[in-house]
Amino acid sequence: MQINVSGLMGMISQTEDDELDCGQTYELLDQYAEIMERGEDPQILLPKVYRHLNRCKDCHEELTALLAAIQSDHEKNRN
Amino acid sequence: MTERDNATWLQDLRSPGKCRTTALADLRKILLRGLTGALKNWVRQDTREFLSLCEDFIQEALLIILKHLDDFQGLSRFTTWAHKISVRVALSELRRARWKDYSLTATDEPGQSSSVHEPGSPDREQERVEGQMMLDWMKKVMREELTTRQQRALKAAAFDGISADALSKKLGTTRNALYKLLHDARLKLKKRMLKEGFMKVQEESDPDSERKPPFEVSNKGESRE
Ligand SMILES: [Zn+2]
Repeated sequence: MQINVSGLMGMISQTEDDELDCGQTYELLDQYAEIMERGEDPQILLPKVYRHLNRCKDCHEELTALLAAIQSDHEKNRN
Repeated sequence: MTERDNATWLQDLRSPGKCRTTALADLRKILLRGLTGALKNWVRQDTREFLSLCEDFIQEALLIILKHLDDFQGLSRFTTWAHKISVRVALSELRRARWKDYSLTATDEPGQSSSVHEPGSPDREQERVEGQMMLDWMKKVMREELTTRQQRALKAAAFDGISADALSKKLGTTRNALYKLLHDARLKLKKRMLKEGFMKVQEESDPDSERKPPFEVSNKGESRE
């Protein structure tokens, strides 16, 4: 989450009283990845997870890596 | 490799004997295929160590998977759930290694990137001065509003870019507790921004207005030497 001060102020201004934490996000991350894989919109289907992922670099990295894992598994399985 | 649906995975992994051994061997192969894709921006893969590193991660992930079979609710494919666990194990370990030499400091102590000054951009002087003023204001309100622990954590996370995973370990806490600490800090700072009429707060009404993450998502081939 290395950001400049204006990014930090933007992030602070968007703080919500009720946010999902990393654990709650992790619980839903596999479903979230499959929603993306199906080409559906996770912002509509899992909006709180979507917003957590916009705030949290670690969870965002885990989603990116999970999507890459699913894709790599499918590709290598086909070959 | 046998194609299995979720129920068959659970049944095979729970059953004694050969069925379980075969299922475990298949799952190991699947997780290895996944990790080679998942870690391509994290670790150099053209080394002998890469495979042994992945095998260590997968071994640890399999233990967690077997221990938590009852927690799998079937809301995704079993293999996606298993990839999720293996990715978490791998990234946690890699982050810990990446940030092992980082030491926590308070807000006013120099950090790796606490200044917004960009040398060599005189045409952006006005922007730089405003950025510096915002940074000074932010440091002041952080000192006034936040506990020392919150200041340290926010500086490390926001300005130095340390991963929450690595930071929580350095603070001797969990990632969830760290998230709560930083969430409380953001709420206090937001209140102060509202009180002082900072323009940025006008954006607050729409939580989805910021569609791009405020942090840089790295796609560079960062490698673990
Ligand atoms: Zn998170």
